[in-house]
Amino acid sequence: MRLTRRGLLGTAGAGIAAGTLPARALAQDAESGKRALLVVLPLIRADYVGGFDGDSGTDTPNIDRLAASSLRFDRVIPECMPALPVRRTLVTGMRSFPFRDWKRTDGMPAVPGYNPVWDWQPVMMETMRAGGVDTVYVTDNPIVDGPRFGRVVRPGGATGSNGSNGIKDEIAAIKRATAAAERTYRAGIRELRGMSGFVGIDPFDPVDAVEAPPIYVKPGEVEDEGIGPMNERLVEARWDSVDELRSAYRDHVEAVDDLVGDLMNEVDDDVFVFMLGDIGIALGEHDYVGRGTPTSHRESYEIPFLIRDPDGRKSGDDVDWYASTHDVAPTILSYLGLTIPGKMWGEDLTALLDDVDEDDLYDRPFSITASGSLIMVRDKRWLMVADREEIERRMYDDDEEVEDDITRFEDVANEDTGQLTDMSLAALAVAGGTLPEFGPEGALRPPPERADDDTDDDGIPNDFDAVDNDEPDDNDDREALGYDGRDAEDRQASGDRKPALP
Amino acid sequence: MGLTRRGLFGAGAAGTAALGLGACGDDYFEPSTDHGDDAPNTLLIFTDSTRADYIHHYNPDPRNKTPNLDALAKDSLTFSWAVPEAMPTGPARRALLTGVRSFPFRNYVPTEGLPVGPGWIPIPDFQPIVTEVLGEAGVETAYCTDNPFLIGPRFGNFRRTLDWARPSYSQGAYRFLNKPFKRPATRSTVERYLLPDLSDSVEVGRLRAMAGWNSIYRDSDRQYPTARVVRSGINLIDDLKDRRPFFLGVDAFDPHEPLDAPRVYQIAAGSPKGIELDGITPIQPFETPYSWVIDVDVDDETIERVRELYAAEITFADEWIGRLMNRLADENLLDETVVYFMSDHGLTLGEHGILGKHAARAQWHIYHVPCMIRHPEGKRAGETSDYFASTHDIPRTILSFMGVRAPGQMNGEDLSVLFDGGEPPERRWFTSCYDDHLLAGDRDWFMLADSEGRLKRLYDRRSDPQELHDVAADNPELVDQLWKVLEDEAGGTLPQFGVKSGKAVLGG
Repeated sequence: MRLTRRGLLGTAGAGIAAGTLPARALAQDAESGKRALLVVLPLIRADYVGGFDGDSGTDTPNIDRLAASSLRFDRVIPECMPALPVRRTLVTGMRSFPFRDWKRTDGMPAVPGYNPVWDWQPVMMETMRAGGVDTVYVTDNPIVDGPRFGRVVRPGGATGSNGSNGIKDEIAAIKRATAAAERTYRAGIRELRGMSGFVGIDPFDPVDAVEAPPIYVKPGEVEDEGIGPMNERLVEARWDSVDELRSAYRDHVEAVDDLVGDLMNEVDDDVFVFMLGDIGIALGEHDYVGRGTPTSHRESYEIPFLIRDPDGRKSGDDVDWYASTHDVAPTILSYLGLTIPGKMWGEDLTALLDDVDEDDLYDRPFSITASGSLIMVRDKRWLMVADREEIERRMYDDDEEVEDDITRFEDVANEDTGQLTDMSLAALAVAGGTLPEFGPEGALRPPPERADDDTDDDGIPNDFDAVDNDEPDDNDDREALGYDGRDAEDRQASGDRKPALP
Repeated sequence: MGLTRRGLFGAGAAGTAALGLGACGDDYFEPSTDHGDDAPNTLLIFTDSTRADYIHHYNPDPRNKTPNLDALAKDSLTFSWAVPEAMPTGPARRALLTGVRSFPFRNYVPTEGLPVGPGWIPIPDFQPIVTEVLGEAGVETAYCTDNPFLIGPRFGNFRRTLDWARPSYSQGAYRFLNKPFKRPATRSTVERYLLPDLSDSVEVGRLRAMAGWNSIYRDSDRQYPTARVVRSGINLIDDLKDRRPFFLGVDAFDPHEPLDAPRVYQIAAGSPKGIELDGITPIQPFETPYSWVIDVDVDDETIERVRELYAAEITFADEWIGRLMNRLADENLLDETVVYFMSDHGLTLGEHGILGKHAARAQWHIYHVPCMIRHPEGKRAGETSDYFASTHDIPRTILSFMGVRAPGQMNGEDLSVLFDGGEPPERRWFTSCYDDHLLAGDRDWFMLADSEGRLKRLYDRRSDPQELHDVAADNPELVDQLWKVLEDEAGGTLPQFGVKSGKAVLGG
């Protein structure tokens, strides 16, 4: 048996006879015959799916059936939002949070997160192809384009523009998501016949790449309920009833479920299936409407997320570990027996299939995500929404012991500052130590603090400054700096011009 | 729930499955994950301040002999272009132990008990530690070191992940981190080591501490720091040989200054010259971390002697690495152990007008370090890879060889693929940082810049292998490209360090 380094089914080798092969095993070429399928459910909230204990009354028999035979992740929110940045994360396996790499890109909205996959980022499909795995990716996502992404199938299809006129436009957007799912799954089904290697089926309406979805709030609510300085996506809109919106959304979920049924009929039992939603949607809860919206309503973030193992490992199990979108690429690569590029930051979730307990996965105490210039940190009980500088932070408490819903609306940031600090520090830690600030063109680097860096004011930083010794020396670097053998006072005394930096 | 993920006691305690009894339900002795069948052992040999060009394998014409490292290289895949991802000692160790890049020091906050300067922080709570991951997978972990930072107060979270921790308090030069001994020698004792220009510097105290320590604890070669560390390692091999698979780290702080190899090695490296003829052995020829040559007023002969003393240190380390490898062979462990050898940075010995190490002079004398991996079956023995291997690749490679999943945060590459005929993902440029300076380059070009980007210096390695002549003005596009490489590697923006209050991070 050729062990993959990830697939550690064996027990600890107790007695090691000298001369046996150390079975570290790392397959350069993927294990032959293994097949993996990635399916993205567009705009599906976990609480609208029965298989994820949803109680919204939506009928989702197909996803439920798959969930019942899969390892299910119950507390997943995408590690960044909305739809376009999610997909950068999916294919790179790198966290897009906190959008430090954002640079304003032509043809894309000036919202942090909206940029292509950079050429210094790893790409899942590229790693697969280097390991000899055929790949097909079915999507209309314009950033999945180029030789690194392997074969890309474009379902194509007409799209309208996103409007920002409130509920009606939001309903239209939901319908576009349904349409994108329909044409993408149909095209995907064609690719599934005779499938080998990896197939990704990712419904995406191209309009999501050129327009950031609006965040609707009721007039006057911004000040009361506002979450820091909102970015341009915030739109005030008035609505009396969200029944029509929710009804349209239920139709969408059920339509996608039907399509999943059709799709799964074409999937063989020996295919590893990774299925997840991309972003959630706020449907008027807590007075927010919008896709991938920073809201105080926790269910608006959660997406379905499941792994079906062909060998049935962990079938029907569920875990609470805070998996997210950046875990997808490492997990699929690991399943295929490929080495995960170091820059991918996600965890290899096949560990769970190999009987590693969720408590023994690498610790991830919070779900941390970003949308535009806001960040959200969440665990089972708390939800923090903060602006980039963490100046304005709001925290909501979902204490299951408390029966009323009031604390979920009320900002309790000042009531448990320790919790708030923990969550802020967690976001900072994941961001590497600082959260970026954004200018109109991209993430900013603060101006240098010059202070007394150049104490003798000769234009040369102290670090590079010549030492006071008037003998010529063999230091070429100093000569390159224009050092003329005299120290600063001498030069000033003789009225010389300061030497220019090279 | 706070961020502290590591239990206070015991290896692999964090989040262990609830297998035991007791209120917390943790059983410290029950592995929670698993390692590969017949996983090989790991021997990680790490030495501080080791320049590649003082090792015969890297330099056909070195000034010293390194027969043991050469023999190891002959059995190993050698990396001709290993560059630590961040320097000096502290950040490099952190990457070595966590597998997470320390570059670009975005998380730096001035920390008591560590030197002040970007990069000098303890291992943060949220980062994995390779020995912890191994411990959770049921691997016996051991580490012996005299590195004053690793045995100091700020790396306790690392030591707690170990089954066997063998600190060695023999680096008396860092007495402030070295509490057990507090009796410095008299001033007159250290006069024979003190350069006149350093006679009222902080080095006086360091040398007094070192000499005081030596007078009590050093009566033979066996008591020199590297020897003590390696003897701990040899003892540990005895302890570990029945507890396979094991991880053993042997991390010697020498050849760090003071350059005080045993006298026979100093004599073997060359005859006394320069200031030594006046009775002063220049074992500490600069004020750590660096001095300008013209400030300490040493002549070329003395610099030559300093180089010989440094060479003597490396030869002495080589001798003891040989003994360690012999013990491994004696125990028949060579064919089931992966051996790694690497260093964290080099040392400038008179080049660029510097003695010691200076971030603004972190040319190849500083960044070019040896790195070799010996495969138990001798795969790729004697071969050379020009991949830009780095310190943060080591943990992932160790885990991969041992069949343990690496946490996703470990962003080094898995170098074990090189032994299966593969190549790790392309790393077109090496990138590193040292204090508030940034390094980037490839085999032909090298750029050294301050982190504000005010002074970016570019060297053409093909025509100027010593990296002396700044050609940035002639190649502005390449300079911009390398600066962008650094920004990309840092995730989009580079952090901005202040100049006050310990150069704390301002943002970015």
